[in-house]
Amino acid sequence: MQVLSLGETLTSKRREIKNSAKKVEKVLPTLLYDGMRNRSDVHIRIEGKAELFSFLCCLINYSLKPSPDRIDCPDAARDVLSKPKNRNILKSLISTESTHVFKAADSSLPALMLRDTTDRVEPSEDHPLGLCSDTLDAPEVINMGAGAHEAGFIPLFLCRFIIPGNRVATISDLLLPDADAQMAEALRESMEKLDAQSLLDELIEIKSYYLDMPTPDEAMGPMLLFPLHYKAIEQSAYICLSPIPSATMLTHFKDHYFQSIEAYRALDLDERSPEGADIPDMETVAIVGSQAQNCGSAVQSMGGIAVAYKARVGFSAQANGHRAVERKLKSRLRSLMSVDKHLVSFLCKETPYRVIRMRWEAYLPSMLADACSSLINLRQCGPTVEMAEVRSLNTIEKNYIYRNTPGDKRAGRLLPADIHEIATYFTRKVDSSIIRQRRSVGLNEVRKNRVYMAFRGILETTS
Amino acid sequence: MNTLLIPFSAHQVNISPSLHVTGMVSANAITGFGHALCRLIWDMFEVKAIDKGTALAIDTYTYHPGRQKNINAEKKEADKAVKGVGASTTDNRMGYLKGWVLLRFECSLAGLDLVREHITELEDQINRLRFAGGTMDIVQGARLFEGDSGMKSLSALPEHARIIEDVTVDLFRYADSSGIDYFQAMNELLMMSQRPDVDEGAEDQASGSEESEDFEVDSSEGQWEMPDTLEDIGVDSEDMSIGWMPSLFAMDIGYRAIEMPRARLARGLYLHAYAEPVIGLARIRMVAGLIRSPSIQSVFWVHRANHPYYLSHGATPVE
Repeated sequence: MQVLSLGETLTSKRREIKNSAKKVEKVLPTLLYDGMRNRSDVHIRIEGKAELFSFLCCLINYSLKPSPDRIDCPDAARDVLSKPKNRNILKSLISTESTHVFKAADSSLPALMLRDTTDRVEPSEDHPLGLCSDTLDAPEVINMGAGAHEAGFIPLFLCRFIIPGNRVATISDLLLPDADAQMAEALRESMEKLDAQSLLDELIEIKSYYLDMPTPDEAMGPMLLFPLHYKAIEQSAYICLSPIPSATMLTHFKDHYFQSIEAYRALDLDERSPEGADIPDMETVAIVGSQAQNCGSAVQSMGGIAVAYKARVGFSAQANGHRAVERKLKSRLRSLMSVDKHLVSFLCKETPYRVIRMRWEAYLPSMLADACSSLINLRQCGPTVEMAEVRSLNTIEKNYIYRNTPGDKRAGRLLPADIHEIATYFTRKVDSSIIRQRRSVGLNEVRKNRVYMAFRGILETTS
Repeated sequence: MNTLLIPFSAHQVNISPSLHVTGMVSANAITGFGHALCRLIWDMFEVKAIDKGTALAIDTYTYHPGRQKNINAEKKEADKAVKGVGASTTDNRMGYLKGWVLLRFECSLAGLDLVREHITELEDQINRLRFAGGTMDIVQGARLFEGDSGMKSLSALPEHARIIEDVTVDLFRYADSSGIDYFQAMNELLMMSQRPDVDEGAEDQASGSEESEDFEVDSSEGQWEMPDTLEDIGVDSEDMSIGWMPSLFAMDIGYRAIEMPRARLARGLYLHAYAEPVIGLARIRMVAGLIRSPSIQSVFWVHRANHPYYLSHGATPVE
């Protein structure tokens, strides 16, 4: 964590902030911008009343487009606060301060003030619970705002800075004197200097009103019924639940995802692991379309895209059951190798990026072993079907399966020549399947070689 | 206990149950289907059927990535004039599932006779139920196993069927023993399960030592205990993986209410609460391995309401 004083951030290099149309909207000192938006490790240390006053001016002037020449100019801030429109925005913002993003399901729903009011439950062996904001060890993220017109004022309330005593606070916390009486007093004096005493009183009133009455009266969004106990049908004992995501979870998932990828990219090529970054398979999910700015600060900071765990369950049933293999052996059917369309699409996948290519190579042996799993199984466990009963199995496959049976003269390990023969056969089999299914020329030489080497590896360790 | 085995195929199944997990139906979809089935039996025959857990076995599973679906906005006419009619979109993953649902239930002997006699009528009605938001069709006849706590009906499944097992307790044990939070524990466990070990012993895995799980009685199966050190876990997680299908995955297991339930104008006359989704850990395994393991309790999912947690667990039902 990088803790800087306000003076250092104000004198840092200035940076142009552009909107989506590449037009310069604001010019702000870089470090101050980072500290205001809570998006990096930069934290601003505030000591004393004078610093709080100029910092408050910076936060208020952040909403101005174009920004004034000096970002901590008190006159500009006084001007902003004197306008009734801006005062209304501030009041409506403080009334939407929530821990859970109700609007993430749909940006045109109303912004509700939803605060987590339950107590923390300790997980135990009988009640292992699961991953939710209760069992997540991360700082709580507050969501605020109901529309794009309010976005400029969000940092005023939600910017985290360090107050004397090494504690992290926001302006929203300081409205109530419980957090820090001294800083709350300093805030009051600063607002008096900006001629906004009455506004501060109103804000405090709204905040304490919503803290007493935290949840709204209307039930909105998707609903589901959950039975309360095993006699729920007779006694009609259900509870109605409306699922809404937690702002802390959404933000933490996305932050962690990109931190891992950044750390991976910072490594040298030799140090990188072939599986890619140190995160499980995740998938990005667009949640609000193009209207992320209407959903409040949490979704806005994520750009309207959440990161979700992807359950990799495998495609189709590759491994055959015992009876199915027996039936195949006795029938006059095709070979026991199964090259299905998922394996074909995996092998033909275009791999433009290095990370994807590494992943492709890492998954290759497993996918190929999956294709010949029936054969490997039969060789490992010994076939239950007598060799005489086997009808029209391919000769190479037949030799591979029955070579280590006690009656065979050449029992034991596969010779290098056999391994070469079988691996070549497998590779040809895969290649011909690709040609047949894709109507293409098949694998190129490099990939064919990779497939051959992977088969060799599988055969050498299984023999 | 009795078990009802229902072979089904369901399409348009919602496999993105929350914003945190995609790729598999939620656990509440499994338990909810079992509950709806009990309600159906109650409605049709007036038989008091007590839900003792529902299991989902998968045969075929496909998934259309990134299908977008319009979420209809709750807009008034005046708002439409001001803001426009373009509703926001949300990525919604739809899937196709083919497999079996196993419902364990208890009811009186007279009720059981009714169910046995009218099982064809029951099938017709089951076709009207929905599974995880999708449409469900029974592909073969449903079968009733009497006096069965799950083992008989599981043995009737083909051995390659894959069944979803609850291992959230391992997430707790891992987080507890390592002193880390659930998010980190979840990431590490998933990484261990998803990572194909190319550096050391990749070909060992390819040897089919795990493939043979289908055929051999593996004494370590189902007795996976959480060891203390990381090295041991690496070894154990290899043992428990099934074939080449990465076996562990995150799953939406229920909800945690963020407030005390209140009377609101919600569905029916029930109390209402806002709740956030909870992510658990599940494991997919072959039926072949499962029926040779000592305990099959954790594949039968049941509701468990314990304020503020409203979860579905694979465990013995609490009475």
